[in-house]
Amino acid sequence: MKHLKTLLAMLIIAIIFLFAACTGQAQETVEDTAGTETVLRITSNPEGAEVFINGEPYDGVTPLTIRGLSPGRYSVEVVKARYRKESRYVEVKPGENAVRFSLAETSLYYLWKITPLLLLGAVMTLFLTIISVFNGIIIGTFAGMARVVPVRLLNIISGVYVNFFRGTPLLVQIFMIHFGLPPVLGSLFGDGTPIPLNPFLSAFSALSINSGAYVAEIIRAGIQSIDRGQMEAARSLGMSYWQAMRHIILPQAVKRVIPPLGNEFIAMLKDSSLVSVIGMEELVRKAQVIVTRTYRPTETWLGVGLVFLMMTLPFTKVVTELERRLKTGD
Amino acid sequence: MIKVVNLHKRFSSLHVLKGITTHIKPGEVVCIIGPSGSGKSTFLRCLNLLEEPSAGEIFIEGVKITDHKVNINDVRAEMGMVFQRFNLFPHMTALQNITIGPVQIRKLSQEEAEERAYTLLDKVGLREKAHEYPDNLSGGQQQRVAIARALSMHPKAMLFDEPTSALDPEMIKEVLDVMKDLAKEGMTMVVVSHEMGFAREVSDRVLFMDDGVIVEEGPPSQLFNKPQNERTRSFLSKVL
Repeated sequence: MKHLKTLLAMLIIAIIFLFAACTGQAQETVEDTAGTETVLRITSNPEGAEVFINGEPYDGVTPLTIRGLSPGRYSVEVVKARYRKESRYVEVKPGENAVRFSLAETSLYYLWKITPLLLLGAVMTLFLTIISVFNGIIIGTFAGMARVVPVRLLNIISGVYVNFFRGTPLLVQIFMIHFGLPPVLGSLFGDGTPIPLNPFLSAFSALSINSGAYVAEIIRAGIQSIDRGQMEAARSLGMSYWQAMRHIILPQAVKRVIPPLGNEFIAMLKDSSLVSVIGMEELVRKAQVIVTRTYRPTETWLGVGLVFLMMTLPFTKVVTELERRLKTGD
Repeated sequence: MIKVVNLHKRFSSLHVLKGITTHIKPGEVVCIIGPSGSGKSTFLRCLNLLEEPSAGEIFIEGVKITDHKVNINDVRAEMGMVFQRFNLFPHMTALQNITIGPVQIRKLSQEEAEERAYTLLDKVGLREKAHEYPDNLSGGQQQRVAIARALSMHPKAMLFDEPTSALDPEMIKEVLDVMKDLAKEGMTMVVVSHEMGFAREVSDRVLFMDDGVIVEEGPPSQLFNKPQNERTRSFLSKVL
């Protein structure tokens, strides 16, 4: 129910934006050439628009040549379904007159047209997030356990790792890997010239390592949330620390970390947008490319927002449901 | 069977045990009483090294367990422990709680372990609860399963850390009855308890601890009826 309200609010905002975007005015381009007969040629891109002269429908669609007009000032309007209608005043002079309309798609139609491109980006975002979080869970499980086991060296190493990657911005980590690592790799494994990384590899590494640090904290908290008495009871039976971990502590901890891991996935889904800065072609990068081509940032970015929402809302619902079930069941 | 020599335990600046020396014979039931904070539980937990003693020696059947060369897990397997808060494994059924030790540590087959587990469940009167999870059992039932779990390792001695303190009054008896049966069978038991009735009726010897030392010890009839020490007298006057 709560999600439905959020969605509704988003839709209302979207509609307001679309109406605001509709009020753009086109500029007048009139070309007239000298001739004997008074002719008005009306063209439009795309073609096939209906034409209204002084508010009256004219038979036929663009491109259209109108003959027999008396010179004067006319209001010309072109209308085409799924495109914004456009009108302007044309000073018709004796001879050849031409007027050209460049029709813009309506916001909804524009959004519909870029949807496949956005979805392609969304698939990449989703794919990148899934493999990064999966990797992060593997890294984080080891790092998280390394924080609680009674081995001082492991505690320190994983502590440094977790604090470094939780305490620095993800954007900086992406830069460190994508731009900072190539010279190091070059001097280690090459002749000293930087070895460039492809954006996917950099993005995947940065997100995995970052996610690993957050997952490590989730795992640590999960293990430490198990009552101390459980470890004591297991040890008092004669189990070793590792046996107790494996049979008693971890099976209980796993249940508790599932909901926070779901939240980590949602957070990573959103944060993955940062890898657009190194040219990784995910949803946000795709949108940037579209905007430079179409000059329609309003609808494009609104669309990106909606696509993100379409991905995060179902996962949020799943996590909420898991939390509810695990709370009652434990 | 259990010999403790000059045992000390410090928690940073806190000196909890200030030199405990005692000897528990096989088959003996020893109750430890005393005000809270007197070090009773710490002493008990030292006996299976859940707390590491700061100084002093503990021998179990002649083996010095405070020696670092001793495998601590082998020592604990021989000492059953029952906790105040039961500490059953909530992700396992009663039966699984009782079989996990024998299967994982004694390397018994699952069938053999289950067979023994059912015998133990019979002993604590909970065979019909074998497949229940701890959350679905009452406090008294949980504690009885916990006793069965401790017994599943065939321990040489049983340690009880205030086993009835977390129970509702009407459930105390069912747990004490199980403990009485155990005592009758000749199990060596060390019981930290506030149940003076149990101490008086079942124990062979009562230790009164206060401020980290054993103030007075003796058979219950003597300690309860003719306490020699002033502190014992004042404690008993408050609890009896």
